Amino acid sequence: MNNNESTTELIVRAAAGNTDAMSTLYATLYPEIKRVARSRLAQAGGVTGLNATALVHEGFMRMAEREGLLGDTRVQFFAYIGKVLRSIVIDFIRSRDAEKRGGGATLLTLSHADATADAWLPAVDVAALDEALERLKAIDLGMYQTAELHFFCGMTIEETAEARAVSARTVNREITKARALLGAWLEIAPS
Amino acid sequence: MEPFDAAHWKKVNDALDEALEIDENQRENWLADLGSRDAKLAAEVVALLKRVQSAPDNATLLQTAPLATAVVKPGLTTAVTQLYGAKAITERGFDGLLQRALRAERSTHKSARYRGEVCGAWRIEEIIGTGGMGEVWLAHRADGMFESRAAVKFLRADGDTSRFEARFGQERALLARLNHPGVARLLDAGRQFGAPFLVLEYVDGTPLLDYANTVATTLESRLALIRQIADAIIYAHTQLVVHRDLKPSNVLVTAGGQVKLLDFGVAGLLADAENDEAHESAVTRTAGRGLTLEYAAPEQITGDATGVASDVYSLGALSFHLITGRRAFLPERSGRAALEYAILHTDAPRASEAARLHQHHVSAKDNIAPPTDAHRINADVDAIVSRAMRRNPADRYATAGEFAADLRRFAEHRPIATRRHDRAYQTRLWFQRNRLPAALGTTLALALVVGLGVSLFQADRARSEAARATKTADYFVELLGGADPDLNGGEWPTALMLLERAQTSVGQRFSDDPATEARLSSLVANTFRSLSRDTEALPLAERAAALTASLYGKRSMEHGKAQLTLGTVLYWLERENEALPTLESAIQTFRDGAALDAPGAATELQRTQLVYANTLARLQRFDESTRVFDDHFRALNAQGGDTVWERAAAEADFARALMAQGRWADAYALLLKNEAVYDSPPKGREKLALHNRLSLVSAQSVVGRYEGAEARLKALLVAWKRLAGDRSSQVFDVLNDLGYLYYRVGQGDEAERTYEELSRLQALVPDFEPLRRASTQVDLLEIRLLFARIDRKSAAANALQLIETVRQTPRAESDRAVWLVTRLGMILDASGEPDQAARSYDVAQSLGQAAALADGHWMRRIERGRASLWRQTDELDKAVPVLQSTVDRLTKTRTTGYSQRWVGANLELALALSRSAPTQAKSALSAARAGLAEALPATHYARVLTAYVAAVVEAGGVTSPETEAAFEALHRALAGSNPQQRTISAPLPGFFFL
Repeated sequence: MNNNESTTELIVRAAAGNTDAMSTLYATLYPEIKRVARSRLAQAGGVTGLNATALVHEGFMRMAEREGLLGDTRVQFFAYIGKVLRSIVIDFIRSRDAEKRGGGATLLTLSHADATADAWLPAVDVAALDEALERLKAIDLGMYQTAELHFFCGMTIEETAEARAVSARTVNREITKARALLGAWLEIAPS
Repeated sequence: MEPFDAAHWKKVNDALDEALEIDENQRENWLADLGSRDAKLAAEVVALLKRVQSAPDNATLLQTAPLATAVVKPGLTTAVTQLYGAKAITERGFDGLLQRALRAERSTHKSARYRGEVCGAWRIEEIIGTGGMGEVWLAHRADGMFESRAAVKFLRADGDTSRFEARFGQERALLARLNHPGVARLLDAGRQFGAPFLVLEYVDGTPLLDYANTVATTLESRLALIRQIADAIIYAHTQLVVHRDLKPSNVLVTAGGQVKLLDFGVAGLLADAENDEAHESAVTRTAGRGLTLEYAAPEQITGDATGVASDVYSLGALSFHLITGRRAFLPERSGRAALEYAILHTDAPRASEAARLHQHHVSAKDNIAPPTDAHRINADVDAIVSRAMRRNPADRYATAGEFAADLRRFAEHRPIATRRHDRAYQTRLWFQRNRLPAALGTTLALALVVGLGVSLFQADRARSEAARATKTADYFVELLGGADPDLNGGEWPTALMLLERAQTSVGQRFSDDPATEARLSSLVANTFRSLSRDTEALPLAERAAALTASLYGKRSMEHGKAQLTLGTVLYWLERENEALPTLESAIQTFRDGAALDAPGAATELQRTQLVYANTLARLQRFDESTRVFDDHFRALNAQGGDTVWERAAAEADFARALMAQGRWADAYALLLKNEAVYDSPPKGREKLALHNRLSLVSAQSVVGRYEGAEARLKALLVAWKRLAGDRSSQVFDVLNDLGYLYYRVGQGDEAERTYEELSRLQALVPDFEPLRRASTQVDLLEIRLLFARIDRKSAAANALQLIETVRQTPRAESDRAVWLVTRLGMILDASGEPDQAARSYDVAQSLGQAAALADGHWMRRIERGRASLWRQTDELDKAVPVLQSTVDRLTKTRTTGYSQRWVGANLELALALSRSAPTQAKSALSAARAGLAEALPATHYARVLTAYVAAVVEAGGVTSPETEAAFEALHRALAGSNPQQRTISAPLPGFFFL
């Protein structure tokens, strides 16, 4: 961690729109988040099918406590972690796609996925999702934070409610609406 | 939906909240009201409401994951799939992606470096590992030959490169000569990108410790692993190659349980190349190369001469880890210095103690669970491991062979060499050994006593034979009297050892008394035969046949009997072509020769006929075989008296011959008729009865009458395990049938598990017939592919490897080998590798031709495989005649009831004809439909496949939404719990219905 400035201060300034603080925060936290995430996974012994986000989340709870993060800062911190985890995935998928198709842009579809060597790689349009989340953030910060914390940071509804200092019922409602909204933007056929 | 700004969203959001609060039956009015005021807003709210309503309640959503029912549109993101609650498919959800991303993280920057480059005949693909010695890459043969996968290892040669080259040149020849199933072979070597590289056999296996932790969980199975490792080391030592860096990460275990040692001699190569500087300390040398200290012998650390003894030490250290679950040295302080100190100056703890205290001890990251039966780790194990790990090389076992021999003695409850001097200990073991209800021991003791008894009985009966019989009896008494440890190098001989001694000494001992030699040879040969040790029986049986011919003449009863023994032994050795003339001459003897009036000739004749008929059946000469069986049944009828059992037993043989012809329904009827007889066999025929009961189950499952089969097989499994032990061939047969049953009824999980168990047990048998093992591997692969337990790429690679395995077996030119390669071709076809499949059929054909196999049945199977390829490439003029003749032939042999093969052949034909001859296709389809067993569940793949073919025929052989949907359904039915994984590239009815 940065010695000159605490993570808390960085987050506060970054949240206030300070771009310097934002890039410092990124440089500091990105490797740290990866390290923690990876070590959590390693501790789980490479078991597949485990709940990775919940596992990672546990690791960051400790970090948050160590840094004494409270209130809004804490929420921002976790939202930020969710975002980093998502970008880890996006970077990974992009590098795989680039390798496979020489940088081409066509996404694999489910129906063709099994025809390629990397059969596990699903039809992923995570970038579009990223964009949709940004849009959500612009119009409704609270709902965005709920989505980030719950979907990508592995927080339970109760934990999300506590972090955001709202009721579980509100979180529940927000999750429902965020799902509907994201689904509509990404043109996913309703079930 | 159009994006909108925060202000508009607030409106939408408020309206949405309100709508959600309102009672559902009033919502419509409310929305209509809203629409009249703001149509756009209302439309947006309705769109979102639809999504909210269709999504189940959040709490249940996270647990139940109803993805399979969701309409999945291309381009749908996994992350969004997760938004919709698909937590269950973690490998594909955000969770799974995150895990993969984090794991891949480590190698991303390096991972493109050598990709696509060519090293000699090898094209580099992806990095599969890095270690102290350099990087390992997966490669394929660029020229597309068989055995196309390999691991290319780039060595970090930062020492004197010219010196390295020189050394490399010398060693390469030596390393390339290593050819042992337990050693990953060196295929090629050279220099590229400034680094020397080795091309090694690619091993698809589990790291040793993982395998021990999950599969080899008992002491016995771990000792078996250690013995396998020791065998590979013993072999390498005889080839003058020392490993020098033996450690768990250098040992992989394949799915079939075969241990593979990696990096033989590589450490030495590197060390020597650097070793020119005298001042460089050995430790730096070792450390600098990243050699693992944990398993290194003290002399390797101090830099003294290393050799065979160092490998023995490392083998001991490795054994310690496997036996106790932890490394031998786990010093309190971390770091290299503490570890070096411990290895150089302290003894490893006792293995028994280390295993017992396992949980309380410092946890190391490579700890594994101790064996489930850790209490069996006794003072013997302690002594063996500690002797291997003595600090002074001279105090260790002198060779890896001695170490392995002691381990074997321990497993067999015999005194280990290390504790030979301890008398009380020896006596204790003798009693333990003899308390064991080992079927083998009992049979042997019985055989010897019976031999003795027969001799005495005959002595009593025929005066002229008295002297000879006495000699025979004396010989056995002497043999048994030799069972004294002091006469046997301090070891108690087992009955088997005595018998083996008889095998070698009979000839020398009675060289001046051919009559006694002939008799004893026969007796010992028959004893070996009854123990199924036909290899040992063979020379004695041959000797007895030769002696009786010259002593009593070719038409004598004695010679006839000796011929029968020899013929039977050859039959069981699967040398049918040699068995045949021997048995024919025995039949001649019993039928027309001077022996005709001899007592017992009729019985001998019947026994010979039975073996003869079975031999013919195995050679696919069914018409002749049937005639001999008929003769036999007539003879039985003529004989009179109580022949119920004999007849039922012979009919079981006949039924098996019918099965070999694919006449399963007839075989089933025959066996079913006799079931009650097999259930209560006369004394002494229990094993044969079990064998026949198994045949009954095999037949019933093939004809699609599954009721009760599983229970019957499980009962048989218990019976055989009790009678013959876990590793008996009978247990293997039952497991095979049980697995096959699960396969037939479409229970993929159970089938896979059963064949895995079979494979595991077979791996525990030393010198197990390699072709039979390969056969199990082929079955397992087929099941994994069919039920989507493996991806196609791996399946294809696996199949290619197995083809290589089969080709390298000593009996590759045999019916079974040809069949296996043919099936592997079909597997390659189904894995989307038609070219490789075609090549496999060529291999199968050349093997078949080399074997000069009689008849064309093997060729017809190959043609069937090819027909499937032709069908897919639209070469219908070639495919259709083959398929049509297959159907015709199966129609001829098919009786009533369900024949999967017949259904499969008709489906294959229907597919081939679907475009060019729709009417004929329809009639083939309806024939297949009529052949389906009613008992099959609706989800059974025979049904689903038939539905698919029906859709294709209906669509006139072209792809339509209906055929796609039917194909989907087929996948779903096969993949079961794993609907995302798809393996079969095209539905191949021929493949399903071998």
